[in-house]
Amino acid sequence: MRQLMRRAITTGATGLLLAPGATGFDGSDFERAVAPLLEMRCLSCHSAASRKGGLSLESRADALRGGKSGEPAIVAGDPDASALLAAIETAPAADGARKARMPKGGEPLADVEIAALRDWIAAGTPWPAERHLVDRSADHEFERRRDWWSLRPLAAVAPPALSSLPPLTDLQRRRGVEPPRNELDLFVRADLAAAGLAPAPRADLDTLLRRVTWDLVGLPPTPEDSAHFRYESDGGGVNPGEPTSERAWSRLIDRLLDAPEYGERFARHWLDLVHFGETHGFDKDKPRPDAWPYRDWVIEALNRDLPYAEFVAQQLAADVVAPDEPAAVRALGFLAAGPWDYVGHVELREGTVDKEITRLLDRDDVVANVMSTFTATTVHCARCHDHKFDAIGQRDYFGLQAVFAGVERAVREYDAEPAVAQRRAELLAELATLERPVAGSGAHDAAAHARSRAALGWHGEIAAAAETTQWVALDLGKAQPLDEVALVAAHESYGGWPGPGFGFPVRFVVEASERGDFADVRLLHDARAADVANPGDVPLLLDARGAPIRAVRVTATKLWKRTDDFAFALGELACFAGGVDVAIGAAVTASSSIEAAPRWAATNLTDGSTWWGAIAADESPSEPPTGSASSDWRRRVAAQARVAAELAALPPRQRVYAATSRFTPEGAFTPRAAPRPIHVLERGDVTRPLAAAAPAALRCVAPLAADLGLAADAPEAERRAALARWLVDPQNPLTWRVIVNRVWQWHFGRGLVDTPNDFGHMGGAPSHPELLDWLAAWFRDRGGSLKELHRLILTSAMWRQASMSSARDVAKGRDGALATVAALAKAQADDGENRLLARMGRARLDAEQVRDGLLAMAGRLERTGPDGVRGGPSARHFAFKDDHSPVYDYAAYAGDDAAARRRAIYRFTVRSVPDPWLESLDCPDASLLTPKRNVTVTALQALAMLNDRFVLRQCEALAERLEAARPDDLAAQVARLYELALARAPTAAESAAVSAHAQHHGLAAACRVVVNLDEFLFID
Amino acid sequence: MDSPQSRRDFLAALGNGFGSLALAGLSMPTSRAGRDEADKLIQEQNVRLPRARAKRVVQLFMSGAASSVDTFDWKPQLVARDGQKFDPGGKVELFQSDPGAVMASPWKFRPRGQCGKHVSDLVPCLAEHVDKIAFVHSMVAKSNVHGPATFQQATGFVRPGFPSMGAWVSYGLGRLTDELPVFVVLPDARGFAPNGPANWGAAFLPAAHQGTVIRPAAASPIHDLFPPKEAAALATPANERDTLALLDRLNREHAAARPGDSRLEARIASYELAAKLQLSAPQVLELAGESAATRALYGLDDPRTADFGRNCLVARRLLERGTRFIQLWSGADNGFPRRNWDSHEELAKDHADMAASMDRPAAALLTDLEQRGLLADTIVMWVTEFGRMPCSQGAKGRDHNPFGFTVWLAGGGIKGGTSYGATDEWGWHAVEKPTSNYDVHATVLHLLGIDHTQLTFRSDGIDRRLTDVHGEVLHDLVT
Repeated sequence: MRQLMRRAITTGATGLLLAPGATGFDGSDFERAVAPLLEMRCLSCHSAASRKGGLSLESRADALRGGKSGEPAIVAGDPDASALLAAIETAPAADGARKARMPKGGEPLADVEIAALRDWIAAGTPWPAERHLVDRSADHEFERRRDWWSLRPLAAVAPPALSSLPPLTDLQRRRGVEPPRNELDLFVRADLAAAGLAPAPRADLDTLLRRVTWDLVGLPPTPEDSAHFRYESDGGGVNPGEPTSERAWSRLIDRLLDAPEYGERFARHWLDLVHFGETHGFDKDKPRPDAWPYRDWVIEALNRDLPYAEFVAQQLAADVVAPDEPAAVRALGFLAAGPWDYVGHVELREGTVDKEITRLLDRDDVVANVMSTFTATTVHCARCHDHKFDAIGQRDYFGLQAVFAGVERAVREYDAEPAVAQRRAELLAELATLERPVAGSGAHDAAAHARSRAALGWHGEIAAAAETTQWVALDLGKAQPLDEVALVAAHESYGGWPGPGFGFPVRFVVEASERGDFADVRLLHDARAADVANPGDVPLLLDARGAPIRAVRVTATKLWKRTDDFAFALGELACFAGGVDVAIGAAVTASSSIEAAPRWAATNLTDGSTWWGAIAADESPSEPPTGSASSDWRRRVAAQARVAAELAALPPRQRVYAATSRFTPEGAFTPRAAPRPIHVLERGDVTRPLAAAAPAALRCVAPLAADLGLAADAPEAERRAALARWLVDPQNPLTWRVIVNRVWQWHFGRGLVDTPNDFGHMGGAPSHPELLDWLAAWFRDRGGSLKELHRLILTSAMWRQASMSSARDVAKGRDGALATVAALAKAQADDGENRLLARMGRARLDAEQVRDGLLAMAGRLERTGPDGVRGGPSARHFAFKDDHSPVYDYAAYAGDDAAARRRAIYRFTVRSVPDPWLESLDCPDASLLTPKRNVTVTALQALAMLNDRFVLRQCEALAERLEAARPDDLAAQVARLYELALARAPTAAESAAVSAHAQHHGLAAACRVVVNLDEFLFID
Repeated sequence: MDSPQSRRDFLAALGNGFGSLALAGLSMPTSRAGRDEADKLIQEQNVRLPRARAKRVVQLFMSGAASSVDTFDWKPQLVARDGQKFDPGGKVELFQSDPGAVMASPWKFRPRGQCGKHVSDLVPCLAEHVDKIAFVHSMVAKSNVHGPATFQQATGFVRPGFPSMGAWVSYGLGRLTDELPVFVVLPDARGFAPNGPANWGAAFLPAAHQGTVIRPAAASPIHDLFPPKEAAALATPANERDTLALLDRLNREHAAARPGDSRLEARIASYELAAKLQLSAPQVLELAGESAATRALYGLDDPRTADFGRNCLVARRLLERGTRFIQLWSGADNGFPRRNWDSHEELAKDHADMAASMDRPAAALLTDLEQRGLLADTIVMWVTEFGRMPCSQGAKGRDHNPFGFTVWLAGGGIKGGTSYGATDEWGWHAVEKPTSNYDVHATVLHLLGIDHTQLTFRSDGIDRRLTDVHGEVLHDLVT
């Protein structure tokens, strides 16, 4: 029965069109049961256009006429005289397979399908005369490909009964083979039994502690951890004969899962998967100083065990699915994780073919990241043509590109605190009402255009240095009591300038004079001591307290930075007396003035025309014209100043490099209001667009709707949110299978499916299909808790098996050790790849584990950054020089400072120039999706472990630590070295050999030997 | 936690190519069963062709885009129309600029060698070798941007994340010696080219196949070959000997209790290999034994040619000793002052500087390989990411031209004195037999005895190839 069930899961049955034995055909039966068969299986060769063998089956008349042979393909009412039926009927071939003449080169029709055609012919071939069939062979191919294990719904399977397993023998029990501990063991043991294989004994406690600690937190257990665990496992010494205590084991796992290092360890797996890097890659591999918040989000999400559905959805659309959690937008760093072609985006000119290619490939990277990571589909194989093997068409692929056609990768600002985010939103909304003509209106582009023609203000000459003094002043002609003076920044968005706050000085002073010559200077506002934030569009309102004033002067002492030089500009300088701007038309003098009317002119400073006025005039003529001495103007200015002050008082916003549709333009890289139109491209060529592609998911994942319920012009964020919902739908069979398979792989080194990013036809088949489905459903139905999943796996008997007999088993003469060796030898012979899990695999530490482990053993691991938090900006382990192509030089970094001693997850990951030492230990290229790391052994790796400055420094520090702990007791020092590195005591022979080495060459030299041991680098 | 028993793991663990063990009869300490596995894998993979014409490759990479119309692609039209409006018909789309006037090459072209090939005075030394060289004039690049186009020549793809050609060759053919790296990279002394080490990465191939950087002039030419100075106490000969001996003993005891895990054995062997490299690498880099004539040939005594010349000479010494693939860079990144071939501003000066450093040493390498009998089974490829426009940029420079440019091949199995394909009368678009890196890569693999369609590695659902889904062997170039 189990075998049968497996077959149903792995191969399935072809889609039936008709129940067998149906009779009594009419026209609707033809449409339902016959037309699809002919269209999908026959018409590709036998249409009116192709007419292979002269035969067309497009219409009833064609079919009755027949082909070259002259006989009709169909004789109504007489199946046995119909050549069609003779051609498709099957006969068993010599090898027992079903064979038929037609469809040529294809699978024969199913028996029920042949029976349906026979019944239809017998019923007189009902087929409306006007009905012409069309070739739908591609649909057939699609259906055939879709019939695939990973696309079927999760099967409802129950684990095998304990009673169905062979009971453990006494010998097995004595050897330490555990009984099944949970459902996972039942599945695995049943298959082992069926293969005639026996499970391996439980590994010893030292091995288990080392294995689980490296696995869950990525660090070695300390000698204190070992003592603690041994004590608890022995029941506090009360029960020394008891081999293990389930409670001690559970507590150990809980402690490790609760440790913050857990998230740091598993974030490494995740960041590999999504090719997270902190530079752009390509030529001009610029740093991304704001990429790290995504890394911190992943760590935090894992540590607080964010349900997997939310974990997925936030990475696609946190802005939509978690609106009350503003810091969740860090998750959108996922979409921006991969490489980005700086030159192609920023420097390449708009309107070129290369520009379109750049964007196509950029979206391709995003689509591949999303679909590989969450669904293990290789949709990126369908860019130039339909997928060669899987049920993924080019239209599916470009539908996915359309989902992401509205986002780019850039810095996104956010408030970490929900209350701050809410207040900011309120203030911005208020500001928007005050600036009604501008804020977010659909006519924004038109408005920008209007601005480009508007009188902007006064502009001093360009300066080479920031610390240049420039001034501008107005003269009212006679002194008069003023209530307030307002400085309104220029708003220049034409030609790529940022718009608000253009030219507003960084440091400045505002003075008034009653006489007009400033000999009697009165200080209105002094901002010379420190840099001030740019006010943007918000006027700076200064209280003049009714003082008699004739002239006002603004002197900048530090200018606004343009691209490579500096300037001072001001839009309007207003003087309010009784709510009226009395400065309009006042004379203006300045240290210099760029006279480029109409936009820039000294007289523009007092023309009463501000940027919003220009827009108001442009958009709604009924709006009171600007600069009129209206009290409305005054009221607005005051309100804006108040709102602006409160905004400025809010904590600064955080930045994350993420997917976004709004960002600061850089060169040719500019935001766009609406998603770009996406077309299917012939051969993937941007110069050959075919049909438009609406945002969509994959059609092959029934029963979910691929169209996502989106209109072709759906707003950007809705597209991402819809795909996120599609991904985490409980009925999406891929998402749940894929993640449990990954977690399995992270614990066992190999997934149940050993192609973790390819669940398609070219990927591997599941070794334990029922187990995979059971586990996926278990995980999904229990809320998607990754920590629960870890617990389930780690408390199984199977995960605690020995990897192979260890020297110590044999040396201790433990009962049955030889039998163990024999059983393992058989398992190796019968199941060389250990797919059936008759033992544990042996893992090599990954590059980051080695680095972190060496630091931890030396007692030098910095768990937090300079500000005492675990995350934060990444530690740079290289000398950096920003240049045309930035230089990252690891050799020139002599660092042994705190930054050098952070965990590797917090290091700054450069794409083009990998850390050579980590790379030698197979740390992957951050430009690649890496669902599974290579494990290689090379001479350069040996040299890196023997000679690298980092390793040697940790060896020296470790030696100092050992000497300090047990001065003058070399044997104790060596014993502790073994405990730290290998989580066990040395044998007498080992102790003697390593001590002798230490005596000759120093303890650091002995440490160097031990960290180069296979036993250090591999985990049994 | 892979099982050690799979064949792929076995080979990956040894860090070797498909055929390396069986082909080279190496001294890698491994089991008989292991060799049989390797043999079987070779047969299964069916990568090898019956007759290999070459064993080694030198890829001379002109970073920044070397101009074909100023070197090897003679266009009299540019002289005839010098200073006139560049109007070839059709839209002219440039990377940085609007097209300027037609600009004649500052260097005169003359017929050279037996074949009479026209080559410019910019590269007078290479010009003497035209009878050994097969020129491909009709190269087309997929990108007009340095980074992607450099990737295309280096890895076959315009995006990061794919193995370098040298890594593929290492993967396909394995090592000729266990004393030196299979794939060596000699960067320009002034720094890395665009994309940096990603140009010689192994990407998804096992890390053993990545290029090993050697900087002959640096204090530490190979990273981590020896302990740093501050750890000198750990590097005494006695300490090194005892360390390796103790390590070997303890590792063997550990492996003996864990039979059948090839990775453990491979790690033990890797320390033996490392020790061999420590002995052989300094020998390769020690140029004192080279004759005065040889030093002069490579231009070691002239400051203009000394850096590139030293790299070329080291390349020859590596090839002699069994390194299989060498990537040798002329030019660093595209920054200022110009330090590669990206001559947007002043071609006459910047190309002259680059050519002066490259021409004599590259020619010396051809001469020297030939006189030592190595050229017969060594392929020398001269490549660049794209060419430069026949019209001027800002009166004196040239902008990028991905539509038609020249690369050349010489050595093992290459038909000298050949010119393949052609650009239009301007040297702008490839019009006759347009070709690409895929065809050139396929041809080089062919000469190495590898069917480029069969040399694959599964990554992310696709059986990846150096030649993607393209590539035709250019039989016209092959003797």
